[in-house]
Amino acid sequence: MKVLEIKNLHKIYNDSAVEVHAVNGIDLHFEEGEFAAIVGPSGSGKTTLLNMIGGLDKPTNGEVIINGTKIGTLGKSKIIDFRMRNIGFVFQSYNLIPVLTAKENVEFIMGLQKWTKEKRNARTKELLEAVGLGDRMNSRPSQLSGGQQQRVSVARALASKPSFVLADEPTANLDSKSTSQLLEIMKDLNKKENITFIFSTHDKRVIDKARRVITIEDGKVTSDEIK
Amino acid sequence: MKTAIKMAWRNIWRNKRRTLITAASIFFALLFALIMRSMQIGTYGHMYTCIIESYTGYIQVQHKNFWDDRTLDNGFFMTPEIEKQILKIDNVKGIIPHLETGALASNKTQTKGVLLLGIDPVKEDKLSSISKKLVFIRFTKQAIVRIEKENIDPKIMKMIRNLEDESYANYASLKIALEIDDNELEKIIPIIEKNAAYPCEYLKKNEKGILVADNLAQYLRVNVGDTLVLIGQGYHGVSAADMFPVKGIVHFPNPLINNMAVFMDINECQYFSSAENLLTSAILDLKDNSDKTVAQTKDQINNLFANTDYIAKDWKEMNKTLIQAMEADSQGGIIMLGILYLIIAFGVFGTVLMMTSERKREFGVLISIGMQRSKLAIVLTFEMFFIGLLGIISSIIASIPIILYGYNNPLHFKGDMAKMYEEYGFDPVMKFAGFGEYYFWQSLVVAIIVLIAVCYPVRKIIRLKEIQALRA
Repeated sequence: MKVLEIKNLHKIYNDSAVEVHAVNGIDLHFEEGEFAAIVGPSGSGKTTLLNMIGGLDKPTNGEVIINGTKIGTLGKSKIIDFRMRNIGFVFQSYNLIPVLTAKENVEFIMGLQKWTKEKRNARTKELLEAVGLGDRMNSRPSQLSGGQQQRVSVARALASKPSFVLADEPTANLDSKSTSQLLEIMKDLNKKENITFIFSTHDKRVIDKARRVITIEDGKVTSDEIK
Repeated sequence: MKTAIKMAWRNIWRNKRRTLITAASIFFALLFALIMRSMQIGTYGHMYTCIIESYTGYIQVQHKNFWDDRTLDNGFFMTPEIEKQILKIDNVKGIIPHLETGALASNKTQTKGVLLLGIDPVKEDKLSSISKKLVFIRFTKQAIVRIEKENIDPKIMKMIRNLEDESYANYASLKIALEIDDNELEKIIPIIEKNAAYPCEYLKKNEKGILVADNLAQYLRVNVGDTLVLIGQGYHGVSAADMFPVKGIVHFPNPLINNMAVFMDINECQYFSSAENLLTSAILDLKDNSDKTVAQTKDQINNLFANTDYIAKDWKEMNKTLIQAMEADSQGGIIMLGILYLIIAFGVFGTVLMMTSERKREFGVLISIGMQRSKLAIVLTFEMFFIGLLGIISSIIASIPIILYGYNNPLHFKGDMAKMYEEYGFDPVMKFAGFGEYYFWQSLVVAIIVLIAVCYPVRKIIRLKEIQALRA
């Protein structure tokens, strides 16, 4: 089942005198349960593509269709709501809410979606245990290591059972031990929850774990390899 | 909402120092504003009370022409029927008659124009407590010489020497003038009473005699037992002249009254003025003196006397000049308050500015993961609300003992400051107002400033571009 479809996607920046084609006609689609990595050198357009997939940036041309909805047609407020229900985000620098505990961070999106307390508690417990932080539920982000924070971030992204998770360089700030732990966890959750994971990365360890590797260069897909 | 409140509360403690500095700026500015306003309102209130209780009362019934042309010819006759009609009004407890006229008062070579007030000694005492204003201590030259011979603390003696020719109607004001405490006062009372007692008597009904206001008595150089000559114009141009024994000297807090008033029994005054049964005003003794009830009572009386020559005037109409002076003074206070509010506004806005720019990335993340801008704005509003509340509540708590102290211990000016107040016709006392509406209004203004400051981050959030914020 297609969860994400990208059709002839373009992004042109006109900030300077020269036009920059950050994304130049990309066509892709992702099925449910994929574990895909978008790779490419710096400036190849990975992050721009991810931002457009996540509805954080608007394409100059082309369409992003998530579960049959063309997100370009959604208004300012509706796109936020749509993101909350369909997309999970994992950021390079974790970006947890510093004043909330690990449990509250994971619960946050479910709270916005008005889940009942019982459902929220059960899901939070399940996810934090899955990422190995069942005993750190009441710790604030500042009390957790980088790897632990990123694991909370993954749990938060999965909390409301989105259609897919977008992870922009999720291992860039982690040491090798934390990276392999995080990758194992994400892979397990991908299997268990059957949620699509899309990464932008140039970390070889992530690329090795991915089942599909899409290479981008100069804003174009140069290879799309399924392992 | 619960999460928003929780996040807001925790957010304000992320940077404790900044929160405390902002709350402190609100605290100090509001504290000063409350104290200043309490002093202003209290002082005005005291001045109003002085003039109301010593002269005008809250409501007067007069002939409609009297206020503009204050002659006996514009007096009126209070018939039992009119009295009955007025007393039927719920808020009216009683009627206090006044006959007011001008006269020349003379003693030996001293002469001065005076305000002659014919009063009912019993009823008037209930309104203005004149009997309690009778001078009972006077530091004449001879009295001071006598006190010098007593065994008295040299420091207090020095103060007493400075009080030559000053009169006191109570020990409280004497204590303030001598700058002594209760124990010291207790010790010197017998000495003062022995050597400086002043034998005043209050007026009796139908008895020939007068009470002279303190400053006037000093100007005319009259003492109790002396005789004062009064010459004036009676009703319908009849000459009025007579001699009256001085029964007592009265000390009024209001300097205007203190400089010109002579009181006599109303029947004597009517006889003196050939104006039997004539009144120039009837002061109403009211059950409730609040502004709203006074206005209602006045309207009721004016309705009662519609199409007649009688009119009711309230104290505000009768003291327009005083009220205008107070309002002018109040404007100065409001400018000061404005400056204090500016300090608050800058403090709060500085915090908001830093808070917004520091947390731009965080806002971007929250919107990216699905938090609506409106909800984020609510969190920020709560944050500023909490900081504002912290400042407001702490300043209210801190102001309570200061204002209570000021309320119970009014500041009595002395020397040049006191003279300046008296020249303007004010009692040289600075009194604090108790807790009142001004607390609510000052706090509300601060709350509004805080809410206005919140508009900046709210606008920023509404216009925030997630991509740019995430790169911040």
